[in-house]
Amino acid sequence: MAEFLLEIGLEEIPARMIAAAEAELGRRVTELLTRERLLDAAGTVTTCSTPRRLAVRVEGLALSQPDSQDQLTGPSWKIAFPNNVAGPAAIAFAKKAGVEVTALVKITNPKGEYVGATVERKGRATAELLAADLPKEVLSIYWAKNMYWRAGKPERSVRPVRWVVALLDSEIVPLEIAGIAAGNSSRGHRILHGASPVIISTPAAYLDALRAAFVDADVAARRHTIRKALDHVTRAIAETQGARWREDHELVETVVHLTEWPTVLYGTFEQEYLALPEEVVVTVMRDHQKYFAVEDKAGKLAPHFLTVLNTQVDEEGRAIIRHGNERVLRSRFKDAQFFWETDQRIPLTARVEMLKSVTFQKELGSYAWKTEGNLRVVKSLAAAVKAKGISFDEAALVTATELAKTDLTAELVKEFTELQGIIGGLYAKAQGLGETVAAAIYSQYTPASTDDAIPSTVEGQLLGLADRIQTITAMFGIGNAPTGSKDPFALRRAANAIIKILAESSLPLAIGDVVSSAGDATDAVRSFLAERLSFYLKDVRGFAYDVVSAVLAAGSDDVRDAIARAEALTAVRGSADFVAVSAAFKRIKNILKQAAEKGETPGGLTESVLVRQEERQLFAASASLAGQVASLRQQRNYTAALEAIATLRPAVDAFFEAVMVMAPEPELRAARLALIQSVLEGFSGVADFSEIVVS
Amino acid sequence: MSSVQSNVGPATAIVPSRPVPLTFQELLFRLQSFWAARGCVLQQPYDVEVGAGTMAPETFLRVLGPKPYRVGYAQPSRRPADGRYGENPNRLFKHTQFQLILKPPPVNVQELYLESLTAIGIDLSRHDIKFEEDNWEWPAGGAWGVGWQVMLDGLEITQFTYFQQCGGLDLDPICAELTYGLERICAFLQDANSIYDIVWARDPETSVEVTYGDVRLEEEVQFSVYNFEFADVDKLWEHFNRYEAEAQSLLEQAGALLKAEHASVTDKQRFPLLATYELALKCSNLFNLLDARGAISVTERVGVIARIRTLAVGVARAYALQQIVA
Repeated sequence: MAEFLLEIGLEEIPARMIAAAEAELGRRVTELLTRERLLDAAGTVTTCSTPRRLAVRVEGLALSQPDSQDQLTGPSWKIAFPNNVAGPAAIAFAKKAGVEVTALVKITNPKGEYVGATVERKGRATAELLAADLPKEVLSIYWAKNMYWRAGKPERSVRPVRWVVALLDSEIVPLEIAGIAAGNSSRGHRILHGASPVIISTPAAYLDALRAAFVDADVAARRHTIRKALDHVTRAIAETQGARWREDHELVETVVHLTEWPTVLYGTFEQEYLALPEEVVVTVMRDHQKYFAVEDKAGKLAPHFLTVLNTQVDEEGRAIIRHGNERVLRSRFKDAQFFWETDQRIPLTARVEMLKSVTFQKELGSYAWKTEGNLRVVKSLAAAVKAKGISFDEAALVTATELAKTDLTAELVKEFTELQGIIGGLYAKAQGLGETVAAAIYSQYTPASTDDAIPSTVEGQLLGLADRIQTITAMFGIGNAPTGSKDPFALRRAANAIIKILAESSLPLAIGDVVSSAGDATDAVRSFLAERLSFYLKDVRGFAYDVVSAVLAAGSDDVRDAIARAEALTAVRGSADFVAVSAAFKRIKNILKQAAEKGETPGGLTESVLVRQEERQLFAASASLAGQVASLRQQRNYTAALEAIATLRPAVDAFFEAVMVMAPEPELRAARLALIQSVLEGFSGVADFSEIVVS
Repeated sequence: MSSVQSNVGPATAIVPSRPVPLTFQELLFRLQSFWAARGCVLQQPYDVEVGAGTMAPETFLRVLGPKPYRVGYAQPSRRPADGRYGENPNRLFKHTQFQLILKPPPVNVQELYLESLTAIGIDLSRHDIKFEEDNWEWPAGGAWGVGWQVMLDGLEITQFTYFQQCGGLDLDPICAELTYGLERICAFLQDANSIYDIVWARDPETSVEVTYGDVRLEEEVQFSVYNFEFADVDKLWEHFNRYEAEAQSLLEQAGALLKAEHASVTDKQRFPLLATYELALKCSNLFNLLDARGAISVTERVGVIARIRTLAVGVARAYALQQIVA
């Protein structure tokens, strides 16, 4: 068994893309080796990466494919060997199979007698196979944004490929990627190691050789180093007792993929900048500088930051780098402070007028137009909620809606666009507009993703719903509905947020209420939201796709009700009785469909027409169960309703055992169709069981 | 060497333990000589107002077509809306980019770039340098590329772009575009808290210093005043429309001529597309002025940018065609 190493050296890959590409490289190599029968049962494929390289190491690799025999089947024996003498067909087949005519044999299979040939295949040498097949796997790796670099544009990738290492044990595999011939020479850290090559003797020596050249290619090890160093350096901050760095998983991943040899340094900024809202301070540090925030024992922001370096320096170097980073941060804070102060000169209430000159969408109008639209929608939603006895501060809701977009005119938001809404909320609070107004403005864009929390107040929830349904309806109105993978106005995200708010709040609103609050409801908007509900149930809540189809077929307006039904259905779907009833419902649906195609319609359902005991029993059982199920549904006790429906099994089974629905007598046939239709309709209110896939 | 130094006398005595950081003009000299030594043509700044070094024809038009070219130039870049009357220590109406085009890029372009940092006095062993993804785009020029912002101790000092398309045309070969922000780099080297405190020049005999503020503050103030207060909006529109009309008319003529089979190669080659491009640049600068005056509503914005794009992309396409004819 051999070991293999492939390292592709690139110019700095965007941090956000590395993890997925590394995984894809591992997957592609595994698939290739498995397909080509080169990987031992105990073989392993491991990957690593830095900003400048993707690498994959294979252990338990065969040095060549096993030889194999293929049995080929050719033309019919009679045709190929007329009178048992090889004819043209036999000669052609032998030639194609690469064997002598005399080596052809007669094989007999259930279809008859055929010509057979046994072909010996010599396994290819692994090195040769990898050289031929690996380059295209590497160049097929998906990148969100590609570039050309060589003249004549022979290939595209995320960044130029600059070197390739490919070793089978200690031998170089003669492959070429993007015009670069593989060798055994890698590169070390740009500064700490410099330009001299890093020779890799064997795949097993790879990580250590790189470590000696100040590159830690093991991603998990780098992550560990960074976390440890963050802890360690934070403890060294003497000025703040019990200092802790603020956990930020995403930022850790970013710096892991921005460094080959990470070390951590802390810096300090002037106390006065802590007067800025914490959101602004953290955003400046995190989004603009990739710094970690530091907090004191009580969780309050401390005037320090942690930066992850891609180098290791002496004491003087640390002082220089600290000074440089502090300088940059100070000027960014100064800007933020300046904007904050400038913005306060014009309160939000005086900015409403300014929205006329901020375009929302060029065919629709300005943000003043948008605000008027939102007001209409929010008032309609407020009325609907109030009618159902929910109390909230309606005046605050209206004020929040009027002012919600005014922060778009603020300098601070122009500088930190990711803080829109949040800045508005902070200004509203600072300008004495009240907690309720401020909180609603602050949280208007949440949830920003499916794992974000919804606004915590009724006012915030209603504003969030109104803003999004107004946008969706208006965009659909001018033909900007998402198509396929194209959703330039992020309407799917907006709709996902609507569903999430309806699902996770206690607002007494159904999808239909939200849609109609935005004016003339179009079916397109309605079905767009239904589709997002289906997405939510499947991808966010994790319900099986057939459960979701079944539940939504029985109603998709009330989001929380659909969730409850999906939960109940998931709970009972495994029981044998339920499976049988589902199968029967599917059968009923098919019979009714086929009957309808023949122009047969169910007649009136009178018990007296039914002749067999089994059908009378089904009639009786379903009639007695119908009331019970209806009342359980009324109480939203869906699990009990479904369990009750499952008790229908003996009657249903017996019915289909004994009764032929499509009886020759027209009257009987119509009655039987009516019976099964009533069963289907009577018990499909929780879910359409015919959608359930029975394995 | 030593005899020369001893002749200087007192100068040797005041050599500090750390080298004196470069002045603004020395920074430019060093970058220019570094890149001249690596085969670059040193051009002078383009003498029409531009918002960035990319817009100068030495970049925008030279990147088109197959001819290899290496050029470097300092380009004063005007962004009227960024003016702050000389009051903000970090923001300028006009800043200076050292713009470098390497077409095609050498395989060691990043290493060369890092060497250039050493050449301007940055000891890389005592700094943290990162290449962080940052893609560049100039929609009005139909131009984009992928690359990095180069971060030095948390400060963005260079935009490094692999130019992919210009004028909506795929580039082949592509080129590397390096844009050094000179004021920023110099403030960093000199540890100046304000751009205006940067030492622009130092008299080697008297050690008298001339600061960035001495050289440019007045210009920043007066142009902020003009851009924000005095520029006559109607006149700006008028200028815009006239430049646009002339550029449009030239483009139409170019289109007809370059496609005409009977027209002579000489006539095609001498057609003034470079002048047409200047007219497009004028429109771009006028747009920026109108924007600074707050005269362009967000609604109008998209439309006006589209008009500039028509001109810039039109010139790029015609120019690419003209190069093939030649």
